[in-house]
Amino acid sequence: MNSTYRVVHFIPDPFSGARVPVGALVKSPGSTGIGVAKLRVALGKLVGSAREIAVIDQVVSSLFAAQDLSALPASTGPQAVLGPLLSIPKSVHDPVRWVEDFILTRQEPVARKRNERLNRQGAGLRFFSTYGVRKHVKEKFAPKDFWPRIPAALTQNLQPVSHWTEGANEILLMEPIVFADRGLERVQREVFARFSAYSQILSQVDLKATLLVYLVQGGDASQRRDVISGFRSLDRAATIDLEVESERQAFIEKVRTTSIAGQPTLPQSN
Amino acid sequence: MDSALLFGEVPTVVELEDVGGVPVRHTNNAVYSIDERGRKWVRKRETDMGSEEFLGELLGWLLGNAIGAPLPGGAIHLGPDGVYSWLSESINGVVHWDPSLANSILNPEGLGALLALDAIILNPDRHAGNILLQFQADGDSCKVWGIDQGMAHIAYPNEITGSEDELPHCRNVARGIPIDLVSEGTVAAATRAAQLEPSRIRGMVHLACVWAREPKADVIAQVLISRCAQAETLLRVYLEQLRQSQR
Repeated sequence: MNSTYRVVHFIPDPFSGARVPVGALVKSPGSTGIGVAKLRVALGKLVGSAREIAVIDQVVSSLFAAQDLSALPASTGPQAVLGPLLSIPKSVHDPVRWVEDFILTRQEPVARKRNERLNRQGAGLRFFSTYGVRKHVKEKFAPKDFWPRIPAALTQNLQPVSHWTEGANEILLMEPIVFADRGLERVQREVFARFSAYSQILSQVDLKATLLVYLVQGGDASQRRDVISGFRSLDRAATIDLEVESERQAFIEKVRTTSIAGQPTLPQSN
Repeated sequence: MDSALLFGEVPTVVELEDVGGVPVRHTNNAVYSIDERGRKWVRKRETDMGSEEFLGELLGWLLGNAIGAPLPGGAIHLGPDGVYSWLSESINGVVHWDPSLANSILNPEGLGALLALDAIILNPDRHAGNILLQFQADGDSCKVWGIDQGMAHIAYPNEITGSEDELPHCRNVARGIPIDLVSEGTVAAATRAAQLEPSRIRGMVHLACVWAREPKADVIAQVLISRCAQAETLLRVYLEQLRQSQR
């Protein structure tokens, strides 16, 4: 049985009739999931404006929620359509790669700079901005700089943490998780490993740090449940689901109060 | 604001050419159309929608504009076959609601106002496909637009008597709407609704009912005036129900 695919076309303007292929859904026999083939062409070469590039980015991110080849996920919106169902030769071992190599690539591969919107760190910062606590959050926590008194042998293997807030007696170390790409499992593993290392060090030294994994809005409910469950075994860490209003509010408040507690008080003036 | 709107009128379009179908399911055979002035529309014919949905669109659009809900421009077209169409301005550069874009919204107060409109006109149909996110020129932030108010229960005069304090059910409302972020806009829109003069509401209803050939305008007007008057109370309850349903 052959693998099959349907190319996803972006419609820049429904009134012009133009279509731009931006990706494809790929179904392999025996596989339960749907593969997503991505374009290897800089989007700027295909469409003109940052707005169009942003729509295409969002469309392609949405493709990962596809259940089958019959329809696009609802979140792709009205400016994306599916092409006809087509077959892939039986001898092809990697159908997604084949579609990327021979169907979607018409120019030399170009490394595409990721839009900050889809970037994990950027998405986290955007959340803090939206809720007015961006000024309380710093980027890239480097343990050797902040904990100089801890022996280098202990901290040298600790990777930087994306976001952090400094309090009077404690520090919040925060890693965002986003659901916009197929790299989710890899990111999950990396964050788990990173925080496991911190957890181990924190059990040996007298430092008060709270490890927080926060799930930025997006993805489907089952994906979010899986991620939360995956972090449950992580010692000294809490997982926050930003789609849950009570958790979101408590998280914002924690960041705010921790930061304010850590700010030096101004001397009283008479 | 469009000057025609100040008088509670609905713009009309004389000539339309259909371009092609809207590639989204459950749209009542909506098509893209362009008028003689080059304005681009999404067109739904009354014969495909049914007269109640046609009336729901009209009422929703008139009231939505009055309370600050971000709705695309609207218009009516009378075809050569005598069939009316509801026209909604075509918005380009859009995707449907996705929770991952919740922190990119430029107008959370607008999304809040949409929820207020839904509660007042009893529209249970604010699913992800009926919230458009239009990316701005920076390619990073997006503006919320609400479309498709045709399912509003207010357009069913035989069923709405006595429903002054009812609310639309929340189970179809798009997942991941940040209620804490949009509630200020909801409350502000509810306040605007409560401040609308009954005569203005009556005028909107009668105008919409004339277009939709609905004879029971007085029934609808009475219910809508009552719902607008108590909008602030209704919306407090509706926001709490939405909070519960989003958990």
